[in-house]
Order: sequence, then C-alpha cells, then structure tokens
Amino acid sequence: MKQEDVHMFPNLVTPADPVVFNEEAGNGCNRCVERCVMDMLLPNPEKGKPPIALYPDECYYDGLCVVNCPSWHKGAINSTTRSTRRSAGRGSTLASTFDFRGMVGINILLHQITRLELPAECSLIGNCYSMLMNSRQR
Amino acid sequence: MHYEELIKDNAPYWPYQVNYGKENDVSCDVLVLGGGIAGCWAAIGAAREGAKVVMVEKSVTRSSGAGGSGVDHWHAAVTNPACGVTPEEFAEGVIENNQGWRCGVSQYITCRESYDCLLELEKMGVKIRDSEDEFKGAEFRDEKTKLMFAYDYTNKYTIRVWGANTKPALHRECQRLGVRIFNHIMVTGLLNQGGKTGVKVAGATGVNTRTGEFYIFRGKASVLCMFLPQRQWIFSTELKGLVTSHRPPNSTGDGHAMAWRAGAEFAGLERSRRAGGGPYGYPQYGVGNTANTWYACTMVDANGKEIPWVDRDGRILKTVAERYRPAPGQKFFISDMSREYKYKGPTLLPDWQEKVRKGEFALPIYADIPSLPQHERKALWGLMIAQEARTLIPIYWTYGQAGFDPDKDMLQYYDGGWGGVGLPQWRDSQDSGGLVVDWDLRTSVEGLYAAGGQIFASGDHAYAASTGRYAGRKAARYALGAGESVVLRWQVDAEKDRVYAPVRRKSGIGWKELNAGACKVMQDYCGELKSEEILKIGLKWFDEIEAGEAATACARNPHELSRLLEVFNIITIGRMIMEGCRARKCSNPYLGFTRLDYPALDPPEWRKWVTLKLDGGNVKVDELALDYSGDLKKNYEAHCMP
Repeated sequence: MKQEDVHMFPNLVTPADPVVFNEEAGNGCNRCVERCVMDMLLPNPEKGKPPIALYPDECYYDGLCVVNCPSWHKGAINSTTRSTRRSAGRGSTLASTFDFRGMVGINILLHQITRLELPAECSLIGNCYSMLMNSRQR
Repeated sequence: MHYEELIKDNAPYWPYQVNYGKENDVSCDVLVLGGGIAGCWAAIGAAREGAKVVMVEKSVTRSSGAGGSGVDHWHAAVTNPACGVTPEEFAEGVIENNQGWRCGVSQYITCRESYDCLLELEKMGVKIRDSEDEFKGAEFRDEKTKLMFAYDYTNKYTIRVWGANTKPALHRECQRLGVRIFNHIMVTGLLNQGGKTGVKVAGATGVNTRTGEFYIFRGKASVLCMFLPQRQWIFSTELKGLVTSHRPPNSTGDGHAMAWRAGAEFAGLERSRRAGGGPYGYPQYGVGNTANTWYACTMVDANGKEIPWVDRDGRILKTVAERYRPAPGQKFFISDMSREYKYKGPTLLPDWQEKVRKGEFALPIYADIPSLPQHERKALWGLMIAQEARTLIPIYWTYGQAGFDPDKDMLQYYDGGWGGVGLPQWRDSQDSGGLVVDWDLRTSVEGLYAAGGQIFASGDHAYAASTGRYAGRKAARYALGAGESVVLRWQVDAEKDRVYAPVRRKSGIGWKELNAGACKVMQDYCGELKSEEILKIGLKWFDEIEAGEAATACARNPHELSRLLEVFNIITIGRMIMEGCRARKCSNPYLGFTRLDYPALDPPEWRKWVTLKLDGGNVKVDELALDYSGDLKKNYEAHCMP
C-alpha cells in the first residue's frame, strides 16, 4: 500500500453499512431518501449518484428503503445482515453430528460476505463459532 | 484539536436549504399530531366529518410510525361475521386477563370498531381475505368470507392480513380526503390558549427536521397521535444501529412530553417491564420462536426431539391443530398473551427450559417450520413473515436469497426470542403510561384528544386505527362548534428560544451522548428495584443533566437538532415516570413495579390508577378508579356517534 493511501480516520461508525448501494443498478432517484423513516440517507451532492448513508448508526432495518426502490430487484440497494444481526438455521435432516454446511445462518452470512467482500473470518461468530472452536479444542 | 476541525472544509454541505427560525403559519379545524396509524385514521375520521384537517409528521407519513412497515395480524376484530365472541365478552376478557390494568375505553372502542376499520382498509386496496383461494381448506380460513384467522380458530377474533401496503393506502386516503400533510416537521410543543398550563389547547409548534424552519399550527381541536417512548432506558447504536427497540426508535414520546408540559393528566406511568436484549437482540421476527407471528410453531431440540405443546391444564396436545383451540370447557383463549387461567391458551411445556438444564433437551433448539402442516407453514412464512417491510426485506428476502427454504430448513431459537435477554434494568414501557381519556377520547385538557399509543394502557395497530378514527370524528365535531383559537406572541417566542438554543452553540455534548446519559439515569434510578430515596436521586440527576450537559448541548444541522429535541423529551418523560413511581406506594408484579420501601403486593387500597399532571409548576397526584370506564356497552353507545 502506498503511503498516500493511508489516512488518519475516526473509527468506523457501527453499523457502518446497513444499507449498501450499487451505483450501476440505481438511477439516483432518491426515493429511498424520501421513504426512510429515520432520515438517515441524504441526497448525493452529485446528481444521479446513490444517496449518502450519513447516519448508518440510526438504521432501524425496516427495509422500507429497499421495498420502495424501483430498481431493488436489480440490486440497486441492499439491506445487509452482518455479525451483530446474525441468526442461524439448519437443514431439517438433522444429521446426527453437527452439520456445518447445513447451517443456514452461516450460508446467509457467507452470502452477505461474498456480496460485500468482507473478510471471511467475520462470519464465524456466536453460537456456531463457539461450537466449532469447542470441537477443535477437543 | 477536534478531528472535525481538520476535515470541515472538505465536508459536503447540508443538502437542504437551512432557514432556522423562519415562521410558517398554518390554520385548520382539526390538527392531527403524528402521522402514524392512529394519526392517519384520526385525519380520515375528522375529514369525513367535514373538518379542515392538518396532519403533522416528524418523519414521512407514507412509511412512518409503529405500523409504518405494515401489519400481519389484525387484533380484536370481534364484530367480523365468523367471530364466536361478543365485543363485551372480548373486552371484558382482555381487561380481566390484564388484572384490570387496561384502559376500558380504548379497549371497548377497539372491539366495536376494529373490524370496521379493516373493511375500510380493504376498500383502500389492502388485501384482507384469501380472495385467490390460496389457502382453501385451511383450518384457519372461513370458507364463506375467505377471512383468515390466527390464534383461536374456534372463536376467530384475530385476522391474518396481507398488510404490507397499509401505510401507503392510508396516506393515499388522507390525500384523497384533502388532508394537508406536513412531513419532516417535528412537533415541539402544544400551545395552551393564553399560555396557561392546563387551559384549552389552541395549536402546536414545530420545526422542520431538514430545513430548520419553524411552524405555528393553529387548530380548534388537536388529536395527539404519537407513540410510547422507545429510547427511554436503552440506547446504543453501537451494535446494530438504532434497532434497539421493537418499535421505531424515532418514537421518543414527544407527545407524552408536550402533553405533560401542557398540563394534561397521565396514568400508568409507573409501569415498566424487562425489555429484552436491546442492542444484543436478533433480527425482529427472524429467529425461531412460538410467539406472535410464529404462534404456534413446532420446536425441536438439536436431536430432533419435539418439545410438547400443552393446554392450560398441562394436557399434552398431540396435533398441531389442537394448539389453536380452546381447552375443554373453555369459551375462548386470548392470543399468545394470556395470563389468567380463564383465558390461557396453549403454550410450549412451561418447564421446557428447566428440562434443557437437566439434559432432556439438547441445545440448540430449532423452530421446525418444515414439519408444520402446509397451510400453517405458508401462513407463517409468506403470509405473515413478509407482510411488513421489516420482515419482507431483512427476513423473507434476505433468508431466501441465502438459500433458506421453509419447506426444508429450520431456524434456531435464542433465549428471549428475537428480543434476546437483557438486564433487569433494561426496561421499556410497552402498553403502559399515557394520557387519561374520557369516552370522547378527550384528555383532561379542552380541545386535546388522544389516540393509539398516546392513550394509557392500550394496544397496538388495530387499537391505534380504531381509537384514531373515533378521536378524529370526536375532535371534528368539537372543532366545528368551537371558536377561533388564540395564540399569543410570547408563547411562540418562548418556544423558539428553547428550540433553537442548541444550533446557536458552537460546541457541546451531542444528542447520542445525552441520550445514553439519560438512559443511564433511568437504569440506575428507575430500574427493577425502586424506593423513594433512589427515585429522588434519579430526579436530582435529571436536574443536574438539564442544568449541565443538556443546557450546553449542540446541534450542527436540523437533523441533529430534532434528535436533540427528542432527547430533551426523553429527560422530561424520565421525570414523569419517576414521579409516577413515587406516587404508587405499593409493589405490583403485574405492573413490573417493585418498591423496596412499600413491599405489599397490590393491596386492595392501591387497586386504582394513580394519575399525575403539572399544575402551577408542581406535580399534582390524583387517582382514578380502575374501572372508571363504567358500563362499556352503555357508555360507548351513548358517545360513539358513528
């Protein structure tokens, strides 16, 4: 990494990206800005560009920004599920041993990670993580 | 040096034209304050009476409010043709099930009008019945009306609906009826006629949350339709944003605070309950459980062993179908919230969690959606989960994209359900403190009506709709016979001074830190265990914070200003709650209320509402009979004015 790419920044706000935009898929209509009940999205100073999620820490995860987006099915806007909002599931075959691949929750997280290009270790958390670690320690 | 000083010159400008203090003057017959479910119905009710209606909403009416993202079941629809109980039976049942601690007025109005509201919603374009016969033959479907029911399939009082577009439909109807809607205006205070606390309400003031402009609303009658405070005990954005409460976090009890300052009377303020895990909770409705939308899902342990469902007598229910029926000899049960034996519905084996500790069930526990009968599975995942934007996108869509298949996959249960488990001092005031109303839904102050979560000890979506519509028509009738309201210049100036103080400061504490500080006081001095001494220290803390941090708090744009004004309200409500707690000199498990200095549990002399209001700058405590609503049917019919 070049020296000029390294800056002094405050810590990232948590959550940092509850709403993620795909510039290519959207048209800059700002309908999500007008529908957000928390008013956490602000119009981009540059016309046609996706809004700025200025207050991601105020997100209520009600999905209204997504359902009101005319291009949401093209992926113009995504509501993300990350580590702090994880939940898990499991395939109903109930394999007698712990079926890691059957964990729907892990699949969900992997899906988000693929899309957001987060480091993979972020997914291994909470219950599933501790079960995995316990089995390794044994 | 503060980091922001370094980057200020490169930060983007505020995108909305800021004009702090610029006045806008708006007049009407009926002023509806809050544009959620109750507010929209109040506006509709008033407009139909021929009143000129203005509705003011802090957020955006098309999607805001506790019911803003949709509704999946419609409660207390007792007058629907398939229902097996009468409005009297159901209202009295709910009141009894709450041991009397329920506002009989709002409860009975809802029982009489909830289904009518739903029929009106249908006319507005909301799908309330299975018109495509998707669920033909399902046990919960009435073949004649095609209505679909939840909970008690014998008595059919709660209707499953496709209510995701409820709010856009209500918004359209308000527009059609000529209601003038003001979005992004935070109402900051009520204006008593002549500036005297407790005297007739003549209007309200507001500030635009984007531009900072000031609003003076003059109304011959006002209907207060805001929700219960959500950031009162728990505040942290650090873990999962502001979804720390079940209801929208911009519900900060603004209506409570302004009505208090205007001298209106409150009841039920002392009641609170453990709120769950707050920032440590899970996606709402998105984990396996058996409550609410998920009633009555099958639960299995890690080895696939089923946790039995039982009826109120502990009789094990062998089939899924039995979980939706009253016990032998029982007339009806009350949803998943029944407490009293008489109304108690089927539940999971009550001691199943102890059996986990004994090794009889292995963790983790799962909701076995695939094993449910097909109609139940489809109703749970698709009809109910998906009919609110907050289940449609974060749950239904996201899980589906990740490969979740309700026909094959199960979802894990976590302790405390999707709310998670929190500390005893992490509390909320669900269904509790609010304005005292009479049979006109009028508050103790002339010209001021209340609906929805603004009324003490009331319910949720269908209650907000029914009481909103009722309060709207009552306010309109009053307004159409009332004279012009008088607002004095000094009242407006005093409110402007208060509202704009934080934007005149260059530095000071921000809204988040102040909110967290106020919550800390609530947790420490108005938590699980209370006493006169502890509560008085809490009040002193609020004095100090108000004179200190709050008096020097700073807002850098209109958005921060509105959040900060919310926190000022949170501090006011903190005081109201503490005063309410001081006034009840006994303990009461039902109210979640423990006084260490008055340990007697719900003694007969305290079987009454304690009421409070501001009077001449002092808190005036009074009382109200628990059943002050009297004969429900008779009083309703004498007042309802359909």
